[in-house]
Amino acid sequence: MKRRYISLIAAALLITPAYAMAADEAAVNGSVELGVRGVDDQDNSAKFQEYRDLDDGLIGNFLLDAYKGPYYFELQGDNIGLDDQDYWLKGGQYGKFKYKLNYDETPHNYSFDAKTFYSGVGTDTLSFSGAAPAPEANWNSFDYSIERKKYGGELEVSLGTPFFVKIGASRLETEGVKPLAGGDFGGTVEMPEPVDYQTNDLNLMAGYRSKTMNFTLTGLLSSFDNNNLYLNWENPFALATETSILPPENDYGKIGANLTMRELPFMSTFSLNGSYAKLEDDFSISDLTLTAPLALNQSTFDGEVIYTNLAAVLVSQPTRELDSRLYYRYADKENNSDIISYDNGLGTIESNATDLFDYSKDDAGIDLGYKLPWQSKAEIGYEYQYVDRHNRPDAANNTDNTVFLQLKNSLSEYVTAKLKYSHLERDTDTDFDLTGVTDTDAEYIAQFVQRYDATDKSRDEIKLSLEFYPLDTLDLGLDYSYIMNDYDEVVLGRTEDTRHHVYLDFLWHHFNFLNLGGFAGYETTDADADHYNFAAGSGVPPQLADPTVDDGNPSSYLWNQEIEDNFWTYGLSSQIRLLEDALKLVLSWEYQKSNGKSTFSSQGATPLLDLDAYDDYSKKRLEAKIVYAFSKQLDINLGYVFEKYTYKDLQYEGYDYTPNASTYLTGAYADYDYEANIAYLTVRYGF
Amino acid sequence: MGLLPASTALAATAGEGCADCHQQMVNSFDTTFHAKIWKGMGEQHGCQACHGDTDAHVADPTMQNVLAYQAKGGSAVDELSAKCLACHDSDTHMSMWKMSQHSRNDVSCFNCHTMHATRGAVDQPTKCFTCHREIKVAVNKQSHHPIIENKIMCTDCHNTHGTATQHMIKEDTVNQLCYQCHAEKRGPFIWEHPPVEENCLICHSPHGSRHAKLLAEKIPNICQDCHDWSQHPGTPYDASRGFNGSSPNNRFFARSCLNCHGAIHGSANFNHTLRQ
Repeated sequence: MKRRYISLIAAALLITPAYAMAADEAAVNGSVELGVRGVDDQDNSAKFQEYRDLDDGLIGNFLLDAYKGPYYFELQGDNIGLDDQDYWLKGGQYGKFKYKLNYDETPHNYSFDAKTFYSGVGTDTLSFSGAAPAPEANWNSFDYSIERKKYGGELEVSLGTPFFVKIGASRLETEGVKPLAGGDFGGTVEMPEPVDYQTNDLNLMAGYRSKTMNFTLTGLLSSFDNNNLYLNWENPFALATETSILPPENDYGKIGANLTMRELPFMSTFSLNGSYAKLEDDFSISDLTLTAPLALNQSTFDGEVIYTNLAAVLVSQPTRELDSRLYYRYADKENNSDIISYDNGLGTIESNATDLFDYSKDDAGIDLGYKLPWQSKAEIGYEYQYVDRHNRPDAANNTDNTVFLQLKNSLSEYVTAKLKYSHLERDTDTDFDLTGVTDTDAEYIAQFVQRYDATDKSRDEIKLSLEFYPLDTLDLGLDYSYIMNDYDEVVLGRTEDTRHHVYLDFLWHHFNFLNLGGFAGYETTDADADHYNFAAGSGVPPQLADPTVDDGNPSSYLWNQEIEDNFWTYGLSSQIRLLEDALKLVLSWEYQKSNGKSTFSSQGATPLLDLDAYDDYSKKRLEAKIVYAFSKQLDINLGYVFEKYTYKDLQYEGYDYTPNASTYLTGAYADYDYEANIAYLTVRYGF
Repeated sequence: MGLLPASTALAATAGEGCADCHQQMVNSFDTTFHAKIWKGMGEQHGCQACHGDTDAHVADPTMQNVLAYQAKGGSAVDELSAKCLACHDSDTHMSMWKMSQHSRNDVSCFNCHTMHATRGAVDQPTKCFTCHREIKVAVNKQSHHPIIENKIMCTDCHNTHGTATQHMIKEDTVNQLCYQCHAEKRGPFIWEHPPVEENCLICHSPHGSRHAKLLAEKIPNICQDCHDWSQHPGTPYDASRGFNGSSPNNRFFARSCLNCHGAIHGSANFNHTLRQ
């Protein structure tokens, strides 16, 4: 609270001299809003305050604009003194230079009142005393929460010439605690991971701009620092200290160039972009306090990834009716990181040689638009994409061919309609090396698993959009989309998913008395997947890693899962002017509901039980506010907000911190439900 | 307040008579960001600078006789954009406007910018939601980036005035964009997870999701869609595996796969068998 008062005073001090300086022969305007807020949240839910600081106490915002001759100055502050406060300042001389400074705090609250048997929460060492964790009643309480603080500045100078230089710097500090997994088949422990990151960025841009051409060169230097490279924790099952490795520090540098040329023949504009980026890190096994595994080939790791991008776009309008867009994009990720290998203790050499992923993408396309009679326009397009991947044997490369057709009509001044259909065909090649692998080896199944992100598929998509303007005072909108992915070659994995989305909104003005708006949305998704349950080589007869044959062992069987998600939402908002220019009532109501369901079918002996509460939730929000203006400069705001959130999910229902002998949990994400009331009173003074 | 009397603002052009019908607009003209900038740069422009020759409109005051910036009954989008671009097409962020999806879908400057406002900034995300209804619904879902909390602006990720990229994102690839805020996920890692390295959007819905962590599908399903393997990855996790089920299983309840696999975005551990 003390910090908030200090911030409010600091804000006032910041405004006063700027106001005084600018007030002389200058145009100055702005506002200051101060007030109090009371919050009733008996559930103390992190979800309620996920990205917000909603505590009792003082609240305030301010705004200041000043203009004097060619100079301008803009200042704004929101949520002064709170954990979600932000401030920015802009200024400069028109056509010559401009600058910007900003500061922002954003909390991310995951779960309040989590608990653990460990001491040392927030540090890189988690331990407990004795031979076993303390009873749950004696665990330590803590919050899973992260605070991000970002500050930066930017200066652009052009001095009224076509040339300009821009330099910017920013720093992002992230601190807090988030959940981390630890353990193995011997037992699982959920524990607090310390977060203490800093990301420092330096941006440079220089260029030339004219009526017919823009040319820019850009550069970025970014370093990521982590004050906790590892987390040492005492494994309560093995009674030994283990080490989890946290995100490595890295340096990222990027240079880029852009050339855009306008007013070319056929009313064309051409743009060429290119960039080169290098990402590096290096660390040693001793940095991470790790014990070297057997036969480790080297104790240091030098990581290097190169990103190369190129894009060229040409848009033209050779006739009044015809327009076109031609484009080509190339993206490449090259992985030059070190190969690490060691003996896994079972006499087998393990290596990351098959884990270092790189890829290249070529993407080219053409869109043609043609204006038809009756205020209509037709557009057709074709896109070709080829992706080549290294270390992805299930999708070594794929070729996508996409076509689309779009029709638009706005003949009636009351309606604009747009209909689009697109179709994608993906053809994927695999590159498995299963030499020496038999159907009693687990690896044998790899050839039957097709992953939805890159496997063969066809996709159909239809989008309809309607905008109605039946009255001067009424706007209506409707969007509908249908998307169907058919993964037609899949043996194991997702076989199909279908989506229907419908959205509506309206806005109605009744003179100056009433503004009424509303929206509604409905989304449904059906996804279907086939899977195979087996333990390769075990049992009699041995279970086989081949889902296409019957191995005669009842423990291996195919099963299918169908997931259905339904989501709907609606909202209404109104602004009613009860007394012209003096009294205004603002009301809004929002509701959303999500229902998920998973049904199974199985060839196994035991029937599978459907999941009927699967990310089910409802969320309600009501806000009522009265604004009374004493004058154009002074008004008072009295508001009330009610929020309620209910979450139901079989993965969290009956939450237990020690559900079995091999699991210790901390309560991460287990405190979602809340019902809260907020009341506030503010006074705003404008000048 | 007031830099120029309304009559002076108009007298600079041949637009005298505008105030007869548009008195409120004319009287407040000096407070607009356009007027402030012009004055700051020593330039004088009146209504005609944006609305074109108004003589015909004065004689016959219909919208057809003037450049009218409005959706219903307004002027052709091409004409309106061309008028704005006459001054703005060399702006660095505007240089690729004609390549933008907005331009190609007949969105013009006035659809987002209020030319007579005191500040030039667009009211994000509210203005964007007037067309992008599906995004409005997404960002209000239980799992979302802090967009409705005004901590992330649409323009933090998108250049709405045009880029050479898909969906007008401001970086060359999706991952390079995400890494700007999530630098801890950049790597390079010793052990990589290929889809993570190729495209964050394979697993995440960036605007919002009904599933935690902006995931496109719930865990363990999103993992099992790719990881069908011997033993537990291929095992069905049904209602019996929950806390209240007949055989609770830590591969299903609470954070499911993430109860054990803590390095799904990549691992810097020299020893892979530890999976941490």
